[in-house]
Amino acid sequence: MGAKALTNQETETDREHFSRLLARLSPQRERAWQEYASLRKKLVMFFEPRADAEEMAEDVLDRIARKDGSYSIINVAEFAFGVARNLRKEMYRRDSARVSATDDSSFPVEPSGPESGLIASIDNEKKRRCFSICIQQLSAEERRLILEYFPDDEEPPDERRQRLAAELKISSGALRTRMTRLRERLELCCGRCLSGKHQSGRHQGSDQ
Amino acid sequence: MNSEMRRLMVRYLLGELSDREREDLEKQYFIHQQAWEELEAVENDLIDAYVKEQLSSNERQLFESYFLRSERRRQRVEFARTLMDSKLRQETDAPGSAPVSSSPALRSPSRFWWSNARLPWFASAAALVLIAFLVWQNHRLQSQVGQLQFLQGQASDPATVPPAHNPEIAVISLALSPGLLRGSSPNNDLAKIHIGSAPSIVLLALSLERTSNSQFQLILQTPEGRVIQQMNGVHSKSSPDGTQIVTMIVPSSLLTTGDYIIKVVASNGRRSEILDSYAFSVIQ
Repeated sequence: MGAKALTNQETETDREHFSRLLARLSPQRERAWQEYASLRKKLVMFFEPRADAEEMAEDVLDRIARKDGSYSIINVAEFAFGVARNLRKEMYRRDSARVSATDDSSFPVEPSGPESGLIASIDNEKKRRCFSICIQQLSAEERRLILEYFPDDEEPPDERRQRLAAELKISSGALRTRMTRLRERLELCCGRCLSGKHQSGRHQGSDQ
Repeated sequence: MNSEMRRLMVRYLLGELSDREREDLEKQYFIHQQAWEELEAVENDLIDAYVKEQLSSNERQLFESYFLRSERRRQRVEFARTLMDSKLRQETDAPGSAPVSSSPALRSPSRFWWSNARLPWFASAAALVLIAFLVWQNHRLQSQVGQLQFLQGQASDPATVPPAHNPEIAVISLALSPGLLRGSSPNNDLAKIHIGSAPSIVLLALSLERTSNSQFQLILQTPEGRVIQQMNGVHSKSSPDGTQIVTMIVPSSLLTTGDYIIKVVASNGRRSEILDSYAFSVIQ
C-alpha cells in the first residue's frame, strides 16, 4: 500500500504547509499569492548569483511553511530573511569543506563559426517575433511608455523619466514601480512565448 | 531614494559590498517594499547600461564575472537586448504589424537559454542533424563564393543568383562589393535578390577591399539605421583570386521588400572602425 499512500499523505501534508504559509502572508487569498511571489523573488535575489538560487529560495519557503501553526511569525518577510541568512551560512560552511569543483555556471563563451551565427540569427528572429507578439498585447500607451522609460540611446534616462512622471501626474517612484511591473510582464510573456507556452494575449492581463 | 543608495545597490548587484553592508541592504529590501522596488529598478538600469555598453571597464568585468553567473540574470540581459533593439524597430508600434503567432517555431519547445524549458532528447537530436546539415550546406556554399565573385565581374553589376536546388531549405546567394550605397547611382541600381514566401536562407558574400584584419563584425541594417541582424567574430576567407571574403547568413523571414546596408566593422583592440559598407535590395 504503502508507497502510494505515503506519497498521497506527503502531498496532503505539503498542501497543508503551503496553505499555512499563504495564510501567514495574508488572510486574502489573492493578496497572499502576490506576497508569496514577491517573497520568492527577494529570496532568489538574496541567493544569486549562485546557480542554485531558485532551489535555495524554495528551501527557505519550505522551512517557513513547515513551521507549526502555533509558532508565531510576526513579519514573514523579516523571518524569511533570517532563515535565508542562516541557510547561506550553512552553505558557506558546507562549500568550504568541499574541494572546489569546476564552476560550470560561468558566463558562457559565445560560440564562433558560421553555423553558430546562423543559429544565433534564428534565435534572434524568434526572440523578436515573441517580443512583437507580447508587446502588441500592451496598450498603445503602455508601449509608448515602456519604450520611452527604457530608452535605447546614450542619454541618461533620469530627465526623461521625470518628464514622463510629470506628464502622467504621478510621482517618479510610482512611475518606476509601474514600469518595473510592465517590463516584468513583458519579460514573462516573452519567456513563455519562447518556451512554447504562449497561448493568447489575455492571460498576461492585457488591457486592450 | 538617493543616489548614494542607488550606488550601494549597484555595488550589491556587482558583489562589491562587505558582508556587513550586504546583510544590511538585504534586510532592508526584505522588510521595506520601497527598497525592494528600488533594487528591481536599479537592476533593470544596470542590465540596460551593460547592453548599451555604458558601464566602466571595472563594472563590466564585475558584471560579467559575478552578476551574470545567474541564469535568471543572463535571461534578463537577453531580454534587454531585445528591448533595446525593439526601440530601433519602429514597426513595433506600426499598424498592421500583427505578430506571427502561427509560426511552428513558436509552438515548438525552445532551446533559448532565457527560457526555462529543457529540450527533449529527440528535439536535441533533430537540432544536431539540422546543424550538421547547415554546416555542410554552408561549407558547400562558401566554396561557391569564389565562383560567384568571378561571375560578378564588376562591382556595379552584382549577380543575383537563383535559389540553390534544395527541396528543404532554399539558399539564395549574393556576392557584393563595397561602396554600393543607396543613391550612389542615378537609377538606384542596387544588387537585387528575390525572395519568395517559403522560408529560405540568404547567403551574402562580401568582398573586402583592404584590410589586415581577419575577424569582423557584420551589421545588417536598413538605410534608416534599424539593425536587422548582427554577427560578431566573423572570420574572412580567401577566394581563389586572393580576395578576402566574409559571409553573412540571414533567414529570409527577417527581410522584407526594401533596401539594406551591411556594415563590416574591423576591430583593433578597443578601437573599432567601419571598414566597408555594402547595399542591396530585396524584392518579395
